[in-house]
Amino acid sequence: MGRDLNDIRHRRIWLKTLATPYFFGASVIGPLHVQLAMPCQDSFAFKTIDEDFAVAAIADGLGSASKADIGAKVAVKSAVKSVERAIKATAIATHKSVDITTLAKDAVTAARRALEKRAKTEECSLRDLACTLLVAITLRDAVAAVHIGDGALVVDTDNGLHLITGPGESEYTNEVTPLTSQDWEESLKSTSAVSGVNGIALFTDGCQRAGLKKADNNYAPFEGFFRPLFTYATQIDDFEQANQDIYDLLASDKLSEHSEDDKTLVLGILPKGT
Amino acid sequence: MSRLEESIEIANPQHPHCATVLLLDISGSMVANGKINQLNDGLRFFKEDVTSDELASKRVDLAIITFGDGVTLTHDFSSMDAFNPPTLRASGLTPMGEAILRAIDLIEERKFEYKSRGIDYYRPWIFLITDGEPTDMKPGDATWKKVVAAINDGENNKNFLFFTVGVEPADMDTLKQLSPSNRAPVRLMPGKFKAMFEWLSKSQGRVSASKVGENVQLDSPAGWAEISTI
Repeated sequence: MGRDLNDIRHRRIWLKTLATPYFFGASVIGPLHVQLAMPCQDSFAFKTIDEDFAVAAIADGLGSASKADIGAKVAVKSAVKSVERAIKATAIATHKSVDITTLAKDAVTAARRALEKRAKTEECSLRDLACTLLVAITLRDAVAAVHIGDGALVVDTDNGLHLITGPGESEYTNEVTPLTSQDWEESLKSTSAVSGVNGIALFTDGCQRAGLKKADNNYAPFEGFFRPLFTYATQIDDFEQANQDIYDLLASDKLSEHSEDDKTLVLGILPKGT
Repeated sequence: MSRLEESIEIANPQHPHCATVLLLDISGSMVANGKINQLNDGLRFFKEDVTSDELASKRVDLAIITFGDGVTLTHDFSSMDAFNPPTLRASGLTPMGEAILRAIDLIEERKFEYKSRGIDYYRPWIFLITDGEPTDMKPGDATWKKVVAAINDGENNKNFLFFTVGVEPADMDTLKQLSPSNRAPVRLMPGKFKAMFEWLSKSQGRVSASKVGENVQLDSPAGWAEISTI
């Protein structure tokens, strides 16, 4: 009996192996935002551009900004579109020499410009659209990121988990420099491409205390949180179900108990190198 | 329980802390018009109100320093659950300068402790409530300069948020000179101690629950305070 079930499961996975790179994820509104009748101010977007490239972006609108939900949406959409456009304009033969850090920087700049434009059409101040932004671009098994504000990117490699970019320097847990700040350019954190990556996880600060351990004022990815997630990410065979599973996790008591904030988690599985 | 919820563990189940120091004037003049009794009632109400907000009660880390007959750490930092509102008695002078410096030291020590224990934290609050003028310093003297510099440096370096509330017959002009340049003192409307503590509790709930940019924005204290016109 047990063997039969195993056979079926095995077959199913074998038949439906998903083409890499692939991404899935969800945003959920935090219990406190529900209570205060605020919208979900987190947003995410991702796109598998071709078999080499993919891009994922997450943004967290500031609770203190009146149109932060719009700001976060505009930021992730324009960032992803910027990367897609740039890759499509690049000849396939030169793909391997593309500098993905520069692309990610350009994407953040595009997001900032899009926010400036949106502030005009919304007839609001740029500050009303305040949000964080993290853009990760993958090229085969390499990933680079550019980031402003909190939230983080964790990667899974054959040598374990690594924090590629984290919540940043702010002493206080709820104070950040948003993309709409005057000092946004000086506050950007960019990382050069890291290769040998199997999977990536982007998440907003609502998941931070679940996923990151703090010791001596440094953050490190927490195995107990990410290992089950990356294992799960390699085993999915249906995106709709996978998105729902992430949604259920983010909305679960276990996570809500530790953060009343909106939560976003995007997981990606990359192809093997070369 | 969903499958993923069952399989994951939480890295840091400890809530971030919001260190708050109430810096309370219990000099002899607080006896007048039942102010000390209202302050005591206010503290009991504050405990109730913060405790009723599940999140704030897990995050607010409260200490009380009183000044009157000397400067006393009446209640060292604790969670709201472990806070038993004291019944304060008014007597003595107003050694406000020493009390402020003590509060600033206490905040720094607490932050050091958070860091060494890996606890995330919000910007701490110092909430000064007084009905008088300092008796241990005068505008322009050495202590005064030291205290004003400590308050302004602390605000500018984002070490803490400093609030000043003047209770009748406080000299608002003196308090204004003492307050950080970006946050003028407010005058408590007569008998509005409870409303003030309600605002404090609510503001802390807010601050400890949402992300802010460069500026911390708070609800208007209009229900209990007159904005000084000086």
